[in-house]
Amino acid sequence: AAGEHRLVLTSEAGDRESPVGKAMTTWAEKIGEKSDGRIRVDVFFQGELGGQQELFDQFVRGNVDMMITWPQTSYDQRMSVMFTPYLVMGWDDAIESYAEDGWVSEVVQPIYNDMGLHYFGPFPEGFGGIATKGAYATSFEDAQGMKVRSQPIFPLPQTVQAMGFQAVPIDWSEVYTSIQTGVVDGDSSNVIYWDVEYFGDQLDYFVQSSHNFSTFYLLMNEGSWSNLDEEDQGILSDAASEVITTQFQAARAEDEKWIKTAQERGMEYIVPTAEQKGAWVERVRAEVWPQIEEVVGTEIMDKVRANASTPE
Amino acid sequence: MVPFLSRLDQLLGFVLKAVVVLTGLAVAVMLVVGIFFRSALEHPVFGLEEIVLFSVMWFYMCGAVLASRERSHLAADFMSVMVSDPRKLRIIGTVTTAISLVLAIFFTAWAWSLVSWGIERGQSTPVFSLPMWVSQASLLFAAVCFVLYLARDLVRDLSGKEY
Amino acid sequence: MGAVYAILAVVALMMLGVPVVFSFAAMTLVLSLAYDVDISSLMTTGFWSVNSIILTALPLFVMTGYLMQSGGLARRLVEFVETLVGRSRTGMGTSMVVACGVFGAISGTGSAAVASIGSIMIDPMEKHGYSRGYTSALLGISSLLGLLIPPSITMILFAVVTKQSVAACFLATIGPGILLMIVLSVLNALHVRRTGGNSKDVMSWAVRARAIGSDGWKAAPALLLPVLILGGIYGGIFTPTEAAALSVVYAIPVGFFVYRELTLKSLFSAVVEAATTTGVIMIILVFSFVASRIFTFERVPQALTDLLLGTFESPILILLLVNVFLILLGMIMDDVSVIAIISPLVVPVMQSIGVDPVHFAAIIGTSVVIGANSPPMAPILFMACRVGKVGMKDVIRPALFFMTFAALPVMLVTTYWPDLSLFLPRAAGYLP
Ligand code: NA
Ligand code: NA
Repeated sequence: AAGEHRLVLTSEAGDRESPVGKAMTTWAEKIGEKSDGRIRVDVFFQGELGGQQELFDQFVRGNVDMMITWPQTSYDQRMSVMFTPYLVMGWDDAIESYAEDGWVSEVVQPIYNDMGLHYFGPFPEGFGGIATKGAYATSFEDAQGMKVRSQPIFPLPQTVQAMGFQAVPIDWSEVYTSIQTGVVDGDSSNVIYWDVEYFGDQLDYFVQSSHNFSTFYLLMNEGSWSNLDEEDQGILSDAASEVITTQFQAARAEDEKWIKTAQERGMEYIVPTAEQKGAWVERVRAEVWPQIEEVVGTEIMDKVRANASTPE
Repeated sequence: MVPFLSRLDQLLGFVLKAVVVLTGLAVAVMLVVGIFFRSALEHPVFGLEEIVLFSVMWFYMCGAVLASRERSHLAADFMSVMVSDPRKLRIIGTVTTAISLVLAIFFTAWAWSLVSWGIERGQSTPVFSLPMWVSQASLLFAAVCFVLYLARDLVRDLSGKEY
Repeated sequence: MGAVYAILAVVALMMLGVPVVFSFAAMTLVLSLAYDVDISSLMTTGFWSVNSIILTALPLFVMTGYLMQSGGLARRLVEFVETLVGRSRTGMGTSMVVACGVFGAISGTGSAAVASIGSIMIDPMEKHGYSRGYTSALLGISSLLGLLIPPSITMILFAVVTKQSVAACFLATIGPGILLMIVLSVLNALHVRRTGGNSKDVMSWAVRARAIGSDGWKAAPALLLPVLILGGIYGGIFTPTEAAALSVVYAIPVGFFVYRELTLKSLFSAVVEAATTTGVIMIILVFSFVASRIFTFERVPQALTDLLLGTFESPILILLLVNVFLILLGMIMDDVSVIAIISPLVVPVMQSIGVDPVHFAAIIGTSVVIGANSPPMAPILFMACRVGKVGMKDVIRPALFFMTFAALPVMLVTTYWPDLSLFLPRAAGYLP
């Protein structure tokens, strides 16, 4: 019958018009179509149902059924491995590593299963960078004294520090004002989309340091998942695969579109030379990787070391 | 029994006040230290917020319990204007206390659901990996104290004591 | 439908005299039953909603208010304002209004101003021929300048609930606040003329200038505080929360060593007072956040928006309706409850008729001036009565007078003249 299941789908980031917002809408619509309206998915956009930590708690407890979400470390510190700097180098490497049978997916899926979450697959965003106002840096030395906002999730601030910047913890809602008034010089570790859309009129430069590859994951609470019969589970999985496949083709183009938009709006887009990037990679891997190993364990870090590629 | 309970209440009152003075001043000082490290020493402190939030949650909840202890939770004073018969007023007062008590018991159940989950699943904060339930337990503590003080109030209301 | 029952339940229980916190707990209970919400969801929301760094500014600004009172900062400010305005009969009333405004630039609430300015000024004003009922009513209204002139815990609350910038909301109520100061001063001058006229100012200008200098010097450490707070926030040195912390850390040594009025005992009791005051607010917030999350989950704000837009054509009419609604709710609810419950429901409506949420912040702020003074739920007026040692019957007529001819017009002007509240946030670059 129509409306047999009502499922709640949300994300901590992205309004209706953002790539994640659109992906949620598409996923929900496809599920509705494939089930002839038997399964209704209610989508809630960024902030509507609360902040990141609350949403993830509600998700793990089963009060939110589905999410497209960034990795969170609150239930399992091993999740920090997803923020390992210079884990993948370049788009081709990233696409291959994060694909369904890629090595990154094989690392992350069991961790999510242990949390009680059903894993559909990744929703890649692109490579993060350092967006700043007034001046920019492409080396450890130039970065001295520059303050950039960083999420407090380990090891993101450690990474940005190792690159020579000062990482400042500021809540997302206060970043705009903080850049405007000069509390910080910019933002770090986000793909260019967020910096252009949210702080575009404040920022002058985006340095494509690519120290992190940012990706969301399509997930479902295990309890909500097992409430569905096999046919319905198939419908959700199929719809998810379609969303994921589309994004794997679209992510790079989407990122390039935002680079262009940034340039049109007067932001300078800077790609460090191979030499500059190599120096950062060396520093960051030497300084931060051992710290990550302490948190996630040698077994996972061995996989990382075996698979991570060397800079081109 | 009664002298024992009132001694217990005095002890609790002292502890609550000590906790709020300590946490309240600590929150102010920590935040200022944060500004100092960021602006003067150019070396921002990560994780300060986590300790500030743990402290301030206990500050809020102990403050709310102090209000219960003094029976000074915000309430509308409408009935005393509408009703002049003191007997009726007393009945209304007793009923409102009883209703509050029932809701405080519900609150205790809700807060227990939060804290037991936190202990079971061991969520922690991103920087210092502090266990979240330590902060969440402040809600459960407040809920339990509400029940105790409302039970006290109900006994007083029923026995017709003035205060 | 569950939403309607829940709101009826909360109103009924409040009228019966059930404390606000438990009335809201009842609302949460009704909603969770009506919409079959799992109990594990309730406190997850409750906890994370108040576990917020921005909200931390609230206890700190309240604490500053109490510290100013016990540390002698408040008295120096009042004395300075009195000398500045002049100790004539009219001048005393104006001083009370202006002192509340200056005090408001440091304190985050109305209640701190009632307690400290009331205890300092009510007796001297009686000597100048004001009735205590009139003075208490004037105090009740002017003290709300504490939330119109930033910093303001009411605006912090609004900003957190509706996800607006705290700094922008702070700026939005300055215009209405200054307007209220002017209107109150004019009304007071008219009152003085009607009841026997002004006294002669006994001070010569030379004497007065010297007095302004010396009182200003004495008040300087206290006057520096708003400069520090607002300069720091808008100069990009720190966030509103950090500003609140700094003002606590600043007020303590000033009270101890400069004015030498603060003692360890009064310091502790100021912190305990602040804890009780904010504890009461926070626990109400816990439940009202849960209730409003359930509203969102069930798409109640959308339904309300559709209903209002479907029923009324004109945005002006909808605004008027919202005004009336705010006043009625303000009679039976405190400001925290009104903001926590109403803002998430009404802000979407406002946005759909083109009213900026920051403008709506100012509308709510001016409505609280009325709400906090209108019985049955009139915490500020009750407090003014206690401080002024008068009964409700002495204060209700002048209070009604100020609400009708000052607070209400200011609210209407704020509602229908958006530039009054939006000029500053725009000039500072918070709004396009
Ligand atoms: Na203020
Ligand atoms: Na009222």
